Amino acid sequence: MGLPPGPVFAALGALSAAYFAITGTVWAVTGEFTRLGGHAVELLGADPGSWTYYQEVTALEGGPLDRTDGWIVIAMLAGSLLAALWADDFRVRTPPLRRRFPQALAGGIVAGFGARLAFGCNLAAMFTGIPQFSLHAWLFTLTTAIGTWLGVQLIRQRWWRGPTRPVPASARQHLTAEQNRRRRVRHLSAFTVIVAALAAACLLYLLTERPLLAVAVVFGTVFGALIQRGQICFTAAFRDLWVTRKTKLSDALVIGLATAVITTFVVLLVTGMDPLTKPAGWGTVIGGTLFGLGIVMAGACETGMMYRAMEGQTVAWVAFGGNVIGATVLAYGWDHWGIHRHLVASAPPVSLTSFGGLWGALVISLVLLALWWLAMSPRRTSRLSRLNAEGSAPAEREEVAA
Amino acid sequence: MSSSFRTADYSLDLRGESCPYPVIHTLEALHGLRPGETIEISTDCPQAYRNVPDDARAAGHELLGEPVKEGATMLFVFRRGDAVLGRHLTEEKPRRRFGFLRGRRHQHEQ
Repeated sequence: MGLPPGPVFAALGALSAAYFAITGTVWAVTGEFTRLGGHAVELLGADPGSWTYYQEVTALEGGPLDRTDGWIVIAMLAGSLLAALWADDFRVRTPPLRRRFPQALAGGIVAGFGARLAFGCNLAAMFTGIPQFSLHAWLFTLTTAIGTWLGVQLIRQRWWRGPTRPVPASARQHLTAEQNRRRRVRHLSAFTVIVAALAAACLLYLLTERPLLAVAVVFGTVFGALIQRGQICFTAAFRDLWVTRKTKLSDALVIGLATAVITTFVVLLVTGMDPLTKPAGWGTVIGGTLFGLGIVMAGACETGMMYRAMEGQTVAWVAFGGNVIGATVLAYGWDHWGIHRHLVASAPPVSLTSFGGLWGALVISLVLLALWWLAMSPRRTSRLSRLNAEGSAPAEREEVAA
Repeated sequence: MSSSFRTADYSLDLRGESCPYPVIHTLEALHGLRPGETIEISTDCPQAYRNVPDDARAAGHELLGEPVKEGATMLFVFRRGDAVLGRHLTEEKPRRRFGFLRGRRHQHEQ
């Protein structure tokens, strides 16, 4: 049934700090999506090299296999696929409602555009941005929460979510033992091949003295496997607050962020590295809101859609395509439509370390996380009392409290 | 095989849908039932393996027996609770009887 999200979030927080300590870059994916879009328009005959975005923000050098960012994305996809195959969660799924495909495409485009406008998605502008003590990440997180609320107002509409049609129950066809066995053999063979390929890539990079690429392969695989096993869905962390008033994943996210903040703080303190700070301004506010709206429309954020795609959910592949399109549109509009000039140029990069250094930034971050936790208390308590009123088993109550 | 075979009054096949739709449709379907009636839900969204029973219980319904997983598909049987608890998306709509089931339910009562 997977791993509990709180501890998995905490493990991801600590691992992302370690990844930063080793490579000097944070765990992020949308920068690479933008580059993939750049490669795509290059193939279509355009010259993205002349766009300011690819000159100044995310450089288009080499292919995905030559970059740590590229390998993080590839290895995350591989890691999620490994986890899904191992846990027998893999199945090619197509939703009975065809409207899910245009919804995912539209949501993916909106989310991809918003993410790059704000310099990151739920990773670089949230999960690995808040631990860098960059104010833009807090602004992005807050506006993402607002955007997901807007998104829920949209998807709750009957024309969007579709009808509920239960039918009188009838006898169900079950798979035979032989069918089950054959599926397991197929899945585990694929598992073995992928592990061998990843190991070969690591070995190759170690032998050719490109150890950072090997690091990206290992961390990407672990990140991917963890988000699948823990079902680490940043979309749900916010969306569940509005859909079912559930705080479980939001609480897990706060635990993960606290772990990431503390471990990144230690890394910064010990190594003396400078934290990575991005501009905080209208671009962040608009980008965060669009991102929140888009991920609810698409059904998944940048990371959620990666592990869903690898579980075989075809809608997530469409959302992935939408993300790349949205990010590329933003890259085009950066200079061509004056997005940078109007929304980003005047925005200052603000680091929380300017309020009392690293220690001050640590205190501010932990206080903000504590406020987030407290703000969720009414929802947490109300849900707990409902579960207890039903006389559910004690184990279930603890699960909700955790 | 026989151990995984269960009967319920209704069934709802949510395979192919991913979260939050399995939860929304499960809650809406349960609200449409009468207290005590049972429904079998099938979902293949791994996030729903946890969310569907979590949210159905928090809304006052009862999970009957252990969920059964067959490949990537998970089967749940719920009994509709006496009262729907809490606030969520589907509760604000007027309670809908499933029109096309009415005939069957009527026969059932006779």
